[in-house]
Amino acid sequence: MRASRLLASTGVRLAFLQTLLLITAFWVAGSLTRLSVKLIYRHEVQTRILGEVAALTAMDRDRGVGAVARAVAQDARRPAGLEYRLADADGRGLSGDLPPTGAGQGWTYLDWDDAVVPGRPFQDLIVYTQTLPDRSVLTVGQDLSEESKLRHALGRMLFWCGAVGAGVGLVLSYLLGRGALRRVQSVVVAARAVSGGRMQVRAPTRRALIPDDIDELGASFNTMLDEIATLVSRVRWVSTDIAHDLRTPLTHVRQKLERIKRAAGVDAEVLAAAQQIDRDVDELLRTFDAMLRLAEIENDPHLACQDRIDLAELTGRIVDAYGPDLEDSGRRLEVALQPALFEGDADLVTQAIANLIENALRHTQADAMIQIRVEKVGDKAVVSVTDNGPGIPQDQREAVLQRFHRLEPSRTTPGSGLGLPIVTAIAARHGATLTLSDAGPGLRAALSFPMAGKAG
Amino acid sequence: MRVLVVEDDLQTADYVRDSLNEFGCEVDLAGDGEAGLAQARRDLFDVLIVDRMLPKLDGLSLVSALRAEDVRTPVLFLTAMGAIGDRVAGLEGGGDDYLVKPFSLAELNARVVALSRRPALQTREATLLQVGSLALDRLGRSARMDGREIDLLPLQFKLLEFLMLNEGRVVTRSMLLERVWGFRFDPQTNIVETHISHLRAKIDTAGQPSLIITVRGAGYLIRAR
Repeated sequence: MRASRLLASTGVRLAFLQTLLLITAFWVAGSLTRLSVKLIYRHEVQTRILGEVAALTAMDRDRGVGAVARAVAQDARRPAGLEYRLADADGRGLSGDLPPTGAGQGWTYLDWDDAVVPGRPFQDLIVYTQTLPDRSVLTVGQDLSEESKLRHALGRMLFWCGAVGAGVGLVLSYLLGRGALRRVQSVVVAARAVSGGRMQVRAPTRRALIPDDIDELGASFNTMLDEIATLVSRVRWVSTDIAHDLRTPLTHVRQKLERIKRAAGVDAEVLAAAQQIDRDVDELLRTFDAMLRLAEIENDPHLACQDRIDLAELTGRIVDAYGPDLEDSGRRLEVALQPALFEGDADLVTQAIANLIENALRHTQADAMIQIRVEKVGDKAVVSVTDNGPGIPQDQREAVLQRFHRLEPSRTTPGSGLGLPIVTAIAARHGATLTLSDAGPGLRAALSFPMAGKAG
Repeated sequence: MRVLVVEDDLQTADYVRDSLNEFGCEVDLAGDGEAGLAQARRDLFDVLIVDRMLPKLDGLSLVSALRAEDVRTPVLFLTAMGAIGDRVAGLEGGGDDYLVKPFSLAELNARVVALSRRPALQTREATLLQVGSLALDRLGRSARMDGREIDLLPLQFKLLEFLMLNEGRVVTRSMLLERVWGFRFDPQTNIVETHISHLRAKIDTAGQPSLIITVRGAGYLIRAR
């Protein structure tokens, strides 16, 4: 399955987005946790320092600076405890490990290099400095490297949790997305098969305890197809019924006419009338046949088969059939055929092209020039019939594709008025288009079929 | 020639019987599918004419049943079901020809004769067809009139071949369109007439009647003078 295909799936996109959100959420949560850890730690450290300073201040007031110096020396030796410096009013150190800080009264952050006190890795410190009642100066501090270690450990943990979570999320979404994509794809395949005429194809369904949205999609798709199949068979049924109900009486009319013609014998008047009725019945039948044909082409999914057709060869055969008629009538014929393969129903396409040629014959004068061409244009196989007759005015070109439309209002020339609509319907069955354009002067009617791929 | 007509529309059945009688055929009638199947099993016929929409048993099932029993009598479907799909189903279901109502008698007669097993003057397998002094070499794709080579276009050759294979029998315009041109629709122009006249111009001798005879209201036939 190609990546682009995968990215086209809604499920995969959602999962991808979710993973991104997850990563962002982890990052925000991590930063907030680190910040709050820092704040809580600082607060605790400061409380401890202030408590110690208060205790030592009280000791200084009650028992003198000597007692403070001893207590400081004792406390300073405890590992991982607080750091102290006790100095006299002139800044000379009396007790404690801290080197002179140079800090004023109150809170100070110190950022020292290792070199300040060899052997003791003071780096980041927070210190509180206060002058005691006997004017000696007490500084109590806490090394912050513990805090930064804690913060880094927390950061690493959050990072790995996030990375693993995101990784698992991505893999899961890929797998889930692929599964969902396959199932959606099978619905798409079924849809294409049905629109290609195989009405019995359905989307695969599975027996799920709790059906998900794709199950529902498949199920409603299949229900819709059943409905369409019923409708289509009803349409076929109705047109078969119509055909029967109209053809049977017409058959009777024909039979009675035949009897009348015989009985008439030499009565020329009766014979002529009977023949006229015969022609009228023929005309009626032609229109009726064309209507049924149109309905069949538009509605019958079983109709069009997919043969590999060379448009040039097929057109060549039609030209052979119509050529003598065209030339005998005085029209000039110009034919240029370039091989172009496409897939379609040879019978239907033959009818479409024949209709275009008959149109050109019907609407041009006897000295007209008719060009029939097959050529490849881009990825289309195009057959065109061009005449130098009167053409069709721009504003009428849309209208002539409508049923029963005739350019001349009198409707005296033969033809069902369904020729071009049948061509349009046949084109639609083939994913082709019918274009009418000005040939200056005359009309160019072109049918463009999507060409068959090399592999197809 | 003996023909069985399976048709539930009495008026049409009578009409077909009368006209085929006139044409020299003996005609039996059956009013529904089951009766038709029974008669077709019981007696030997040259051709069966079967409607598709019949009471009790439809025409397609009737023919399928006969074909399953290896009854090979030629079948002509005569039906109001004229859609392309119906025609395909009829021919695939064992029918030999398909005629849509309403039909002309001439058309029906021509098709019944073409279907019947009455020995044709020309056999289908013959490689050399001969009508009078016209000879057609089906392998060499060439034609000669009185020994003189005639230059025919491929379509003209096919047309002449079909006419000669049916020597002495009428072939109708729609039969020609189906078999020679392979058109499954009715062209609104005179393409058949034009091709016939071009063919006549090539094979006929000036001052003599044409080998290809126009049968008014029916079609064409080729016959030695």
